[in-house]
Amino acid sequence: MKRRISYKKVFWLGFVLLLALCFGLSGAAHAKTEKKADKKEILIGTNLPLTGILSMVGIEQRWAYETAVADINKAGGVMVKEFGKKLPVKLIVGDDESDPGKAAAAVERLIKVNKVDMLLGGFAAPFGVIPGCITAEKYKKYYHTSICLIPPWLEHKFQWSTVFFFDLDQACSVPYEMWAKLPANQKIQKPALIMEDSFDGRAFAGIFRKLAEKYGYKFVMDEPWAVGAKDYSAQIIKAKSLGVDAILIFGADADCITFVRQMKENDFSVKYMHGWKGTWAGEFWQALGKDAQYILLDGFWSMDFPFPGAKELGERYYQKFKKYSVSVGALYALCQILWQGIEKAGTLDPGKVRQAVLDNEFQTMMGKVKYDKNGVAIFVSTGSQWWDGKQMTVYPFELTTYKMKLAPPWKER
Amino acid sequence: MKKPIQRSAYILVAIVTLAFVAFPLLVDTEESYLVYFFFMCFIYVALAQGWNLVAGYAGQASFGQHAFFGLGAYITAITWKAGWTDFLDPVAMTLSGAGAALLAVVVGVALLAKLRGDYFALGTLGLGEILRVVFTQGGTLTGGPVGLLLPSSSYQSLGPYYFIALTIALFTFLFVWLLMRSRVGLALVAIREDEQAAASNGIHVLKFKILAFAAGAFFSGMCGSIYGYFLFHIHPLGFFSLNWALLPVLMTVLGGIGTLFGPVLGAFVLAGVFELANLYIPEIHPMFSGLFVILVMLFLPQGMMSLGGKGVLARLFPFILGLSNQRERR
Amino acid sequence: MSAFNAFMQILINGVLFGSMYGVAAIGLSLIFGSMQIVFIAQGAVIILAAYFTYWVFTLTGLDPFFCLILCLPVFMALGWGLYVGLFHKVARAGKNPSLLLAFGLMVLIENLMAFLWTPNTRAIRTSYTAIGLSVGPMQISFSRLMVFIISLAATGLVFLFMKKTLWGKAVRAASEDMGAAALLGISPRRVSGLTFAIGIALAGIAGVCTATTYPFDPYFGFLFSLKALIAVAFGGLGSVGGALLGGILLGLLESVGSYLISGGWADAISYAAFLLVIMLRPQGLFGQSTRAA
Repeated sequence: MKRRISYKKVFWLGFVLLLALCFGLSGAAHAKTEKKADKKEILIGTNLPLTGILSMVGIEQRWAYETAVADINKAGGVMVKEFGKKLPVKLIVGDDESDPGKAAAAVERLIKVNKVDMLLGGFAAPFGVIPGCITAEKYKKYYHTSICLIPPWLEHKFQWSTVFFFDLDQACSVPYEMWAKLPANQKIQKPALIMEDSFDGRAFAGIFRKLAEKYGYKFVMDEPWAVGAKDYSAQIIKAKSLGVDAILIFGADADCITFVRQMKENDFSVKYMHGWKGTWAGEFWQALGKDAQYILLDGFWSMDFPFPGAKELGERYYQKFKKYSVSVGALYALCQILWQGIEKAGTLDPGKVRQAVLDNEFQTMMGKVKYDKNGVAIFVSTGSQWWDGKQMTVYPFELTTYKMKLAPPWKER
Repeated sequence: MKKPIQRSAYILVAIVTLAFVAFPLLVDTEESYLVYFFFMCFIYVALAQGWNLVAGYAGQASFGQHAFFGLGAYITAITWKAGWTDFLDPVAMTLSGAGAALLAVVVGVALLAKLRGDYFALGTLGLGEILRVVFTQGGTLTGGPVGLLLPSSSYQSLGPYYFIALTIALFTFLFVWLLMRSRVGLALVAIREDEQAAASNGIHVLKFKILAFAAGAFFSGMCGSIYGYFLFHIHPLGFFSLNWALLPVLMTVLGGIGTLFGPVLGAFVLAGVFELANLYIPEIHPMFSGLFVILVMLFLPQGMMSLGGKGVLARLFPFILGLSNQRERR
Repeated sequence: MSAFNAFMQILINGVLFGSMYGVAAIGLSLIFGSMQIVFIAQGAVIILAAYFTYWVFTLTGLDPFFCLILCLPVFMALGWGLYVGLFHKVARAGKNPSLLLAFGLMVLIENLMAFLWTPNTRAIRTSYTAIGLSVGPMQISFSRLMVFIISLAATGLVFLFMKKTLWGKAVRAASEDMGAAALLGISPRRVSGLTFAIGIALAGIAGVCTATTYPFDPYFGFLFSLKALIAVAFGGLGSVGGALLGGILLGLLESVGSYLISGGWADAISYAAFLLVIMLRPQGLFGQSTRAA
């Protein structure tokens, strides 16, 4: 049986296509190469989840970065002594599709095709940040990031990135600190730990358990919950039958919303409910309305912080997204650090900029920031409580006057 | 089935291979994006050929490559962490391939014996998902949802990766080519065309199906291994992602299922199209990709290789999946 | 709450929850039965319907359950259009192209929704959201009870359609043997188009139900598709009633599974059960033949 496939035709077709592809890609590559003397702008690349399951936060992060870039450009740009003038910043955003392999690919593209000078970090340690750090390490470009749990970041011993995030031990101690302030007759007796079965969830769970011992509490219920499962009645019923009076919960937005709804359907309420990751977004309140009252959330920042620019940024965010944020300030501050770092270094050389970031202290809308020699800078993880559609800061105690309220049963609200 | 191969085909293959070998020697592997791009393309080629072997030649479409891909990556990571193998170790890669092939044999005996067509495809899909959950719950051995972190300081340059991936791709290509020219290949095609007729001619159907399945798994395992070495971080979400099951299918179908060069063409073209979309329209590139897939399936469902013939391929080509009696032959 | 009551509650929740998988699965089953296509974009269409409900509710205040009536013709037309415009052309090329077409469609729809309406989580809040009815010692979610009733009604309607109407019989005939049906004068294109339209309409119903009970985002659909696929496998590829029962079974499995074993393994249990069923009883647990309606 003879196949009359014209191999020639197909090969030439394939060859031509391949050549075309190569031209397309190398065209993109060469277009961005600039000689030093003609350097007109600072190219900052970032890999963000523009699509995929994390895109909700990716959009917010992108807005924060773009706002910081716009603001610095309005002031004329960043002063780089090496060129003797202020250079404007250009932000190039690559999509990492909420996927770690694609994050590495996005950073490859940013470094090799867009020829960026340095990079701002993506979102969520396992998906965007660590792959980005690893890739930047390969090509010796500076990856300046946040949103990455510090212990796993430190394990890699990165020389070409830095991280600005909260300390997990401090973050997990927030609920215990809140409980310590409760009057004796309202102490928490039966706390429950419900953590998402994921990279972050497990990390948080481990620390919560460790600190429970230290503060003298014992979890009567300690369970992981699957990501994306839609029915939590099993856990809720268990908790109800055990008489749980406080819940620490870590999970995605939609899951937390579903959980609270199902709690109400099962007529189960707790005095103290504190959520991480899933309860802080405006959507949480929009979806639940008054049912979200009393629920606590974590955060990186608050627009009520007494630092310059915080309030204005919060208001601009509200203008744009019609909800309040407890995180954009941290991302804006990340950029502030980078601009100041470049100025202090006087050059765009990635190694020198990173060194300048490590050596200096910075003033940002998160307050004062100082990195240690490993490249880590810490900020305080805040605690807030939903009240009438707004996140009221309850922790750190020094920065707020609002007092946390314990939740009454559903029928009495 | 032996086909008359024109001399020009050999020459073209040789030229292209030489070009790929020479390319990284002429450019800086750390600066040139194309080196990385071709590296990924070679991985896709190998994955696509693996799927093509099972689906295009043996006629069993599987949607479980991601299981073998992930397993291969984990085997490499675990053996490296335990100190039995090293960075970019051929032993580790062979082990990964072998481990994946072993799983394929075990699963194959269970699934291929009982399931046909769609059920088999669904079964492989389920297998992949189960494996993902197992590795997520695996405790300290597999690192759970965090996965396994490998020492990224071992990285020196992209060069070795490129050549290893090229070797794997060439290996799969040659393997499939030689297999198809052998009696085994003949048996496989006979099974694909009409399983009952093949069986009644004395072909041990199950044995050959498992062979093809295991070979495909071997390639997938090796790809998982080299990709794992590249990313330095093995975790269930990224490595057992369904992307790794669906992309090879897409590439093979685009290129031409059941052909030798189909997967190669499909891999390069699709990877290229997606890359360009990512570069120029990063916000909406998934929409573009989805649209592209739809258009390709509408206008070129037989793949690019069919462009060369006069519809002869289409005539020789029964449906790949399923053995229901209602299937129409043209 | 006593252990027995707790367990009963788990069972009830499992059934109610599973009925939603069931509705998603019926459409899938129907489409597979007649066209041999695994329509993996079913989940994405369900989410599209959920957005449709959300926007109608947000912009006009029309109660989601009345949205159902609006939804049906819109999604039937959509289904018909999709078939005639896309799937019919690819049907000749085989299974793989059809599956990939569905995959491409899914990616397109998901990302289009994310692009148009942002990927932020959406939820509908009506007067009866998060209300639980007390039945003895148990709490039954009102919205999920409504979903259960709607699922039963939808299954019943499809069942009646297939058994009693002429077109329904044509659909059944075509799914048994397309060639023979064509010989009898049944237009394959029309029948397949109709089946597809019904399948998409069912997805629409599932979407309305989803919108009333859960918060959703554009990427939620794919998981739904997978679960629906498992439900279909339980019930038997091509069996309509079986799909609903399969969905309920899956809901029960997940509910009981997460109660007895921790939540992390729930997925594995579902998939393992899935594998067992298709290996040991490929015609499904409830189907007599592979084409029973």
